Amino acid sequence: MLGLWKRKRGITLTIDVGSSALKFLVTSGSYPDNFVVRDFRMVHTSAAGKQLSAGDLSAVLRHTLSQLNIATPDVRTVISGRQAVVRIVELPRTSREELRKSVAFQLSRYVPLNPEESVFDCAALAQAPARDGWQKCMVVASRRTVVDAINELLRTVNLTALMLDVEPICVINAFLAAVDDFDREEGIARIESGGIGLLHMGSAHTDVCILRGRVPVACRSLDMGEMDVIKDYATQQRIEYPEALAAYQQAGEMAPEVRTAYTRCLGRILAEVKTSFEYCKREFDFSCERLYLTGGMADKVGAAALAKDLHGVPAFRFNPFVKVEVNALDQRIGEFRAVMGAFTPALGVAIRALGL
Amino acid sequence: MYPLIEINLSEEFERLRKKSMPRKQVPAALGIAIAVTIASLAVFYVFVYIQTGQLSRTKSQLSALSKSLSDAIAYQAQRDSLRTRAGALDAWHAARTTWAGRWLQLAQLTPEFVYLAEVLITPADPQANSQRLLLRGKAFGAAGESDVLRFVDNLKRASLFTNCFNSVTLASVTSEGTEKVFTLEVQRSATAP
Repeated sequence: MLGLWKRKRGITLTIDVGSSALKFLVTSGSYPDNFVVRDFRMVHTSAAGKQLSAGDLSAVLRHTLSQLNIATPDVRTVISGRQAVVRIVELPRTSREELRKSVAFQLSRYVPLNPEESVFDCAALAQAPARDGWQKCMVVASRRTVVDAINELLRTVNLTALMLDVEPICVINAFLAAVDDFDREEGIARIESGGIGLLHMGSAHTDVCILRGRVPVACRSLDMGEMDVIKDYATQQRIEYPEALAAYQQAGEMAPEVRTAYTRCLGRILAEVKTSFEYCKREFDFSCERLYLTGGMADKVGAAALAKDLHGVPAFRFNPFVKVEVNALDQRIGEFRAVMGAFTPALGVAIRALGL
Repeated sequence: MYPLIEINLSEEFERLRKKSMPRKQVPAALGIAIAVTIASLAVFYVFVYIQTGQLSRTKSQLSALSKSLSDAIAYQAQRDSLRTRAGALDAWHAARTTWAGRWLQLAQLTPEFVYLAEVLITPADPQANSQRLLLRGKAFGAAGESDVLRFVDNLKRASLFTNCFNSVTLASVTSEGTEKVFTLEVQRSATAP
């Protein structure tokens, strides 16, 4: 009993409330030395292409938590990139507290939100080059209603969000934590200062993060994702959405018709990415050298090869769990590896030290 | 590992972080100033408390003494009244003509064969400005008349009478057989001591 209590004390629960699925990640230990994935769940919530109500989401949460048998009162969670604004700005070099005060004072300068109705945070990008006495900072803001809705949802199952991160930032964190090991395992060269496109392709949207080496330069959110593939496939095949979803979710190689729809959608996403890199070429004088793909859409077999063909640069399905111990999953390791791209944001917030 | 971007929109975390932050140290001088102020206020409070107690005690004593005060004022008024009256009495006493010594001297001055039949004082008020002493008597014997004259001389030389009465007059001398009947007026017009 005591051993069970001790084991559960160090457990971290992370919930990613996505557009079409709830992702639960149960971990323990601290990254990277003894970080272990203990359990995971992926619960699809929009089989018919529509969002669940708050009450239904609460019921799903309660049911899944009882399955996971977790007794922690704290949780880490992720806000969708569509519901947040991420900006990289240059501000005078100062402490974090002073930085927060400074940004709070002039938040409306950086994000198109009413400061009174927003929740924001900012962090200095220590490695980012900047003028003397200045520093690059990541400013993230979301509408208070969004944050309140998530807090209220969690409160219905007696959970408190101690960490509330934003999807693109989580993806970047997961990438920064694992990219060196991933490159080593894949046998590819480390990119020191070249342009990197990090694409987290989710169900309803895609977060495009552009990095120069290891320094974030810009983040965008595109309203395109797996749902568009499924809708495209359903339209082409003249079938209902659930039927198209079932065809899309089949394991292994994609069927030719599904692949066609997938390619069309991926092409549109990559066209936007190309536009972003053209902007970076003009403004910052660097080009895209490599694409790393994460998210549920990247978990499809052959996604990276398709992206390479479409974009013309090397593309990889990024594995953020390269340094993470997953043996505790036992017979579910294969199942987890098949969907690990969708757990990238959850991992990105789970590996962070709480700092209390 | 590359430093992660520490973004957290959780207000609960921010609340806990602020709670776990070490409290800012209050400058020692400010602490001392506050302590001194509190001590001063405490001393002042004790002082005011004691003074208030004393004041209330004094007030109660004063209220207890107010009856005595009114009595004292009444006594003082009575004393002043009595003093005035005593002064008046003293004045009256001082102004009156004392007769006891004079009667004794009158008896001593009266010659052997002379006797007084009537002594009349008018007016009776001893403080009257003018007072007359009328002496009627008889002298018998051969030297009756000369005894009367000697009696008059004796009175004129007696200081008790001359101090008080400024005139001694033999009003009449008549003969009644062998006796000489005389009337003597001793009169004063000013207040005698």
